[in-house]
Order: sequence, then C-alpha cells, then structure tokens
Amino acid sequence: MYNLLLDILIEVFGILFLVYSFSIISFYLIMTVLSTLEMRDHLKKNKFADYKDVITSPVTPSISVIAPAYNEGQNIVQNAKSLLTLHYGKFEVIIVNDGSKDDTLDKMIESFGLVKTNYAYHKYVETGKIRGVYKSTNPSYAKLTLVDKENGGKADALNAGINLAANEILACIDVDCILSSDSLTRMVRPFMEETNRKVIAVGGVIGVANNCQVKDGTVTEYRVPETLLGRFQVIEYFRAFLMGRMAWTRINGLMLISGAFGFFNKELVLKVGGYFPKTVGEDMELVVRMRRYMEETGQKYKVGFVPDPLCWTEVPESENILSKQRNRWMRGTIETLQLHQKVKLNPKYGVLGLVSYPYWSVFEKGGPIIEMMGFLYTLLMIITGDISALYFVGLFGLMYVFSVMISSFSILFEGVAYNNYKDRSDLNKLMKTVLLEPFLIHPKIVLWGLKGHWHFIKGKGGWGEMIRTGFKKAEDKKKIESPIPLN
Amino acid sequence: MDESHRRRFFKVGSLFLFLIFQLGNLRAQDSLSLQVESKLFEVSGEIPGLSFILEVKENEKDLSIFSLTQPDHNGLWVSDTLVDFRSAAHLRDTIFSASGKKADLAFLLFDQKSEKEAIHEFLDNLSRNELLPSDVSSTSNGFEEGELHILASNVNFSPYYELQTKILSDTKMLLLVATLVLFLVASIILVTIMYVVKKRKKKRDSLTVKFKELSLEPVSNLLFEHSLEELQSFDRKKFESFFPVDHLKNNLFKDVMIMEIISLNKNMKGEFKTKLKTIYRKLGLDAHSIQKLSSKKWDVITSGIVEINEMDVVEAVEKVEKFAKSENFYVRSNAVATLLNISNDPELKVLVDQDFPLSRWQQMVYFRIIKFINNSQEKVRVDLLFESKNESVRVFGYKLVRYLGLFELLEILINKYKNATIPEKLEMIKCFDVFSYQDCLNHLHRDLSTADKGLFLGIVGVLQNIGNPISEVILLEKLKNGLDFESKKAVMQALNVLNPDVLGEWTRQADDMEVYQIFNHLTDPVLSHV
Repeated sequence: MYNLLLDILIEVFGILFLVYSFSIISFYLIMTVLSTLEMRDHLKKNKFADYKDVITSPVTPSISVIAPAYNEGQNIVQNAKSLLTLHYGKFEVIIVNDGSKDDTLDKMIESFGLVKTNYAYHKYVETGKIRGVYKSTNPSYAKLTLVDKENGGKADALNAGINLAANEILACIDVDCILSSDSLTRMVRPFMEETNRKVIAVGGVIGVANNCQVKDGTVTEYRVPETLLGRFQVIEYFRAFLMGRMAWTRINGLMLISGAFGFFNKELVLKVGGYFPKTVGEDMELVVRMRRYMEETGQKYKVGFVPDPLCWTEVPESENILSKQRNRWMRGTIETLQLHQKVKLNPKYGVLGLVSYPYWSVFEKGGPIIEMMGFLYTLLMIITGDISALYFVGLFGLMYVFSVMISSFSILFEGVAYNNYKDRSDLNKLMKTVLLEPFLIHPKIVLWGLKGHWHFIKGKGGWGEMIRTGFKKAEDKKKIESPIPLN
Repeated sequence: MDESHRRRFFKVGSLFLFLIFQLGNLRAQDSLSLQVESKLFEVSGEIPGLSFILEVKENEKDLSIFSLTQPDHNGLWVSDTLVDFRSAAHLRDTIFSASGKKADLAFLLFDQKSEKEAIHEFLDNLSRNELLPSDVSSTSNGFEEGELHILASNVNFSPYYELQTKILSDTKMLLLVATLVLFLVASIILVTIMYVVKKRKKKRDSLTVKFKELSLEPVSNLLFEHSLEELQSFDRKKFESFFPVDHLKNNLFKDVMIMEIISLNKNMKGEFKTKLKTIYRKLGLDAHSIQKLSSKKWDVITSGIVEINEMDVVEAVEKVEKFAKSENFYVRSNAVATLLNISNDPELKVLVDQDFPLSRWQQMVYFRIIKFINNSQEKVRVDLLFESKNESVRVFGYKLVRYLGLFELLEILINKYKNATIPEKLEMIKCFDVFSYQDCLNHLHRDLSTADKGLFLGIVGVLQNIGNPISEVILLEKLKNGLDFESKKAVMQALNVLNPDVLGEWTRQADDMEVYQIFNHLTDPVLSHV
C-alpha cells in the first residue's frame, strides 16, 4: 500500500517538475518574443523623438531627484555634482543623508556651502526624525537640498525626500549611480507622450559599471567585469532589464521598477502613502501599491519602461555581498507578495492579478524552492535507480540548453539594440560565462534565494553591508568637480 | 428421409454424442490428474494435510526392496505414507523402471483417501490463500518462480492502475518530447530571426556608412561650388551625374541622401537651405518621401511625413492630411506638426479639429512650430483654438497665450473664465499672472472658495503677484478658517509678499506650531533668495 502511494507520489512529482519546466520555458519564450517586439517599437519610436526640445520647453514636467545616501562619504560630492549637471530645465536634487556614520554630511556642507535652514515641510508620509534641511548660500547650487535625518533605512530616507519634493515627478535613484546627462529628458518622455492613460511610473535600465570607462558622468567605453560574478551580473541585467521588463511593459504588467533608477508620479505616490519602510523590497512594493490603487479606483494607467542605457551602477563582485543582496531581494519579493495577496488571481486587477502576481509567486518567489526540490527529487531517483536515463539526460539537457539559449539571446539582443559591448574578447568572455553560469553560479543564486526564504521565516531583516570599492575610473568622476556653470 | 432412417440416424447420432462426451470426460479426468500433479511438482516439501501412498498389484515379485509392504498378503503392495509428492513420484518411477509395474498414487487428505477433484480444490484453495510453499530450485528468467507467484498474488488485480501507470509514464515522456520539440523549434526560430536581424542590421549599417561617404561629397560640391541659380537651371540628369548612378535607384541610398540633406538643412541658414531643397527636389527625392506615405508600416509613413515636413514638400499636404487623425500616435503627431509647418494655415485648423487629446509631447512639438510660424511668417490665430471642442486643444491655446506673449487675448480669456473647466482655469490664471492682469481679480477672489486644491493654490500664487488689499483680506480670512499645510504655506507666502506686516501680526497671534514653522521658513534669508 505504502509502495503504491510512494509510486504515485513519485509519478505526481515527476509530472509537476515537468510541467514547471515546461511552463518556465514557455514563459521565457513568450517573454523573449514580447521583449523583441517592444524593443523594435521602442527603437522605431526613438527615431522620431527630438530630445533637445525637452530640456528647454515650458511644457515639460518638473522633476525632483531624490537620492538617499548612507556612508557615501567617498563619492558623495562627485555624485551630487554629477546630478546637478543633468541636462534638464526644471528639476531639483534632494540628497537625503540617512544618518551616515562617516563624513557624508560634512563633505556636502563643505563642498556646496550649505547652511541649515528653517525649511518648513509637512510629513505627508511618516518618517524618522529629520535633524535639518540644508540649502546652499551659493545661487549656483539653488537646485540642491540636503536633508539630514536619523538612520531609518532607504525607504524612510526616500519618504523624507518625498515630503520635501516640490515637483511633479519624483526620480528616486541610488546616489552612487552614474546617470547619463540626458537621462531625465529620456525618462520623462513616457510621462509626456501618453494621451488617454495616466503614466504612474517609469523604470529604467541599470547597466553594470564595473571595469567600464566613465567620463563626464557617462559610460564612454564598455568593458565586461574581470570576475565571473561580475560578468554573470552583466548577463543577468541584460536578461532582467532588456528582456524581462521590456516584455512586461508590452502587456502593461510591470511590477518592479528598480529602486536605483525609478520615476514616479508624485501626486499618486503621496496618495498611496509613499514607500513602505518595513520591507526591504520597497521599490517593488510601491509599484504594486500604486497599481492596486489605480485598479481599485478604476483609472486607466500605465507603468512605462525606457530601455536606453542611462544609468550605471557598481555591482558586487564578492560572493559575500552578492549573497546578501540576493537574500534581500528574495525577502523583498516575499514581503511584497505577502502584503498584496488580495491581488492574487483576482480578475479585478487585470494583468497584475492574473499574470504578473502569479508569475512572481511561482517563478521568482517559488523558483529556488522548486528548483531545490527538483534537485533532491532527481538525486533520490538516481540513488534508487528509478529514473530513466533518457528522461534525466533529456530534462537536464533541456534546461541547460535553454538557459544557454536565453542568455545568448539576451547578449544578441543587446547587440542588436545598442551594441555597447563591441570588443570581441568581451563577447567571448560573456559567452564563456553563459556556458558556466548554470553550473557555477546558478546553484549559488538558488541557495541564496532559499536563504532569503529562511530569513524571512525567521523574521531576519536588514540590508546587509554594501561595500563600495569606488569606481575604477573615479578619476573621470573627479573631473566633474571642476567648476561647471550650473543653472 | 423415411422414418426408419431417421431413427437410425438419431441412434447413431446419440451414440456419437455420448462417445464424445465420455471422451471429453476421460480427457478431463486425465487433464485433472495432470493439473494436480503438475501443481504438486511446483511445490517443494510437505503440504500440511496432504500425503500419498503408492499401491502396486504384484503377486510374483518381491517388492519389499522398494520399501513396500503387503499388509493383507493379497498381492497388493503399498508404500508407507509419504508426505512429499516428489518422493512419491520418484518412487513410482523407480518401481516402474525396475519392475515394469505401474504404481497407482493414492491421495490422502487429512489421512482420508480422496479423489483427485477434492485434491485439486484443496490445492486451489491453498494457492489462493498463498499457503503453498514454493520450490526454491525452480527459477525462470533469473526470478524464482514461486516468488514471482507470491509477488503477483500480492498485487491486487487492478487493471485501471496498471493502465494509469502506463499512461502516466507515457504522458511524461510525451511531455518531455513535446517540450524538447517546442524548445528546439522555438529556439531555432528565435535564433534564426535574431541572426537574420543582426546580419541585416550590420549590412544596413555598413551600407549606410558607405552611402553617407558616397553622398556627402557630391552634396557638398553642389552646395558650395554652385550658385542657387545654377542649381535651379540643372536638370535631373545633370544632378544625377554628380552621384554614383548605380546607387541612385537604391532606396537605402535615397534614404541616406535624404538623411544627410535634412541634417545639413537643420544646421544651415538662408540660401543654403534653398539649395538643399533644390537638390532634394531635382533628384526626385520628394517623390521617394511621398511614396513612403503609401506604406503599410507606421514607421515608414512617419519617416515620409518627417521628410516632407523638413523639406517643405507643400504639394504633399493633401496626402499628409489623411494622417492627421490617425490612430497611431507617432503618425498623427508628425502629420499634425507637418501640416502646421507647411500648410500655411495660421488659423491652426488642423489643431482645432483634433479629436484625440493632446499629450504634453505633442504640445511641446506644436509649440515649437507655432512659435516659429508666429515669429517668422504671419501671426497665428491662437484664439481659434479656444473654440475647439477638444478640451486639451483649448488648454493648449491658453498656454500659447502665455508662451507667445499674446496679451491681447486676455480679454477673451476673462470672458471665458467663468464657464471654463478646472484645467482651463488653471492655464488661464497662469496667463493672468504672467501679464499681471488685474482685471481678473474679481474672478479669482470668487474662485478662492473652490474645492479644487490645485486651482486654489494656483489662484493664491497669482494673488501673491497681482493681489490687492481685498486679496489680503480674503487670504487672511482663509488662513483663519484653517487650511491644510500646503495651502497654509501658499497663503502665508502670498501674504508675506502682499503685506508682510499683516502676516507677522497674525503669526504672533496664532497659536500654531505649523504657522511658526512656515513663518520662519518665509523669513529665512537663505531660503528667501534661493
């Protein structure tokens, strides 16, 4: 009797794993097609867009750039100056010092001639205690505001910035990101183009800056990172941004806008109560909450995405830091999905409820668990000899070739769309990484994801330490320090 | 057939049937005997309750050497009771081979002599209840036959389950094969498409570079080495003689040429612009641009419209007009922009008639064109936009009043203000603000009681710049009645500009931390000048 039950269980699990593999392949194939169509349309549309007008036109919306900083003393001044030199007419820069333990505040005060002011603001969104709001006595830095507050985490710092923001659109960024000078002009385009839907948020691509040549705040020469982990993240970013998010944009199902580079409609952000500071996935949570609001109030809306390379960041190349990042991402995903369970498979929420949420639940949140179970199942079958060699080799080969195909396609995709990595040796290195990734890196990513689950269950929180080595081409960034006429 | 024959036939038939039945019965007896014995051969060792005795009828020979006895001395030799069938069978064979006598095997069931039918049933019963000991020495295909029987009898007869197992394993394989096929086909298609796209793009890019080089020099020569009159006097053949003849019919070459000419046109002024347009037309590139309007692809159509716009191909106006209400945003936007630019329509009819709401992007583009027309050609009739049925067009009209400095239209605005929608009012008050149009104050004072926060803040902002003593009083009243933070800050800021003393006095009397904070903000020297 028990043997029979076991046999049935084995059969059922076998079928389930096969269905899972089948589904994930189908999803990826569909996403590949959707992203290709979306990219094709985007490139065509780009041909007819004249961005020069955006900078000076009185019609364009005003932007508040909010950049939280925690222990960023090493680069904060260059980063703030880089933000102030962005090519756009109506914008302000709000740097929020989130209780840094280093000299971030002092460096800012000293470099920009900042003084503490009696700035009156209202706490539309509840935040930690604000110690002071600083403005510069130098009219050249009139666009700069520094908020000094007690440490409360990234979401809390962003909320503090939102309370002070005076403009129509919020650009929430990581202060250490390198932004292209035309990043604002390009990112406001979706907000400006839409005629019959409200654009509630627009996400952008994050490029990997490690080992790249940076000049005047823009990556001028692309080179792949030296380490396997770094190169893996280049490919992962291609897959996630160029393919994944483009595909979701095609069906208006985007649920995540990277916290490092996201633009939001301020009015709506305030309506939904700003960032939720109790989750580490505050970027995803905010987008889901905004979407929910729009769905529940029956308003037509869109979450846009701009795939042009406009923002770059230094990715972690050490396993320790990367594991903490992935752990945090997983916890953020679980927390967001837990918070918005109401959306799950609810037709009232359209694509969000019927496609995006289930996808994230099964493949992003459940992925590591299912993969681990699949691995243990296969191991058990091999030990008991119950697995057909053909079945095993077939399934394993399928998943491997599929993974290689998707990654290769993403490289090819980037090549067709932007062709940033022109050096043949770089492409060879990326291809080598594609072949090795399923064996050397993917298992670790699964383990870190599982650890995220475990930490979520245990209630462990926090961001982990993000050690920055500074950009390798920091010399280039220093050039920004030279006096540049500022509006 | 007569009666006697019929009877004889019946008798013979009956006898035949009887014989057949008897024969069948005999065969059945033989068969039963065989079945019992074969079953017993399969069993190893003793079967509880079953024993055997061999009986041989022999009067002459002494069979005691086979351990047989003659208990009644009547010539019937019998063996001891044997519990093992194989021993009994072996003894029977030995007797037969030594003496030529066939021994009969008698079955004892619980020490009672029994018929073979009873033994057969008894064995069947044992089999069903798995009580028959198996023969360890009997094997088949590596498996022990007895074991196989026990294993088989362990599994209940369940044809559905067997079928299900088969289907499940087949389905799994089926799914696997289907997945592999799907994957293989899809990946081949995707990779092929990407490969083709990449190849075509690479080829196109290299051709574009090549064509750029080929076209730039002749265009520059024509532009700088020939006067406008000369260019106008050249016929098409003459123009074509400057360019590589082989490529002139190539669409990509034409596109690259147009791109280069447009690029130069954007950076040139005066006569050079006319020269470029002459080259464009004399080479028949205008026809190429117009031809694009017949395409089914929106991007090709848009590209044609853009070229027509840049090179002022006025004769294509009618064709472009068809696209002014296109469903496609890019086609529509560029068609309207082109018509605004080249149709010589200062009444902006194409805008007035727009059904689709204007996006900010469109407004940005149209504003640039209208500003250019207004400054360089004749004055545009922005006031006609106010009559449009499309609210976004009317709002755009009010914006143009501000952007183009059309203060003469303020009177129309003030007349329309009362019945305007909130978005319209928001734009109108900005116009009043820009031109410090004090005639609007009554309207603004009245609208300070609006429930729309955006309009309220807008009006307060205007009053800050153009307000009068009445405005001060109304604003102060508003403050006293309690406002949210943002409105309070705006009103205090306005009052601070209109009459700082009044504000200072009121603040001193107010028992509100928020008011003090705002007042401190407004009077902070750093904040007041940044």
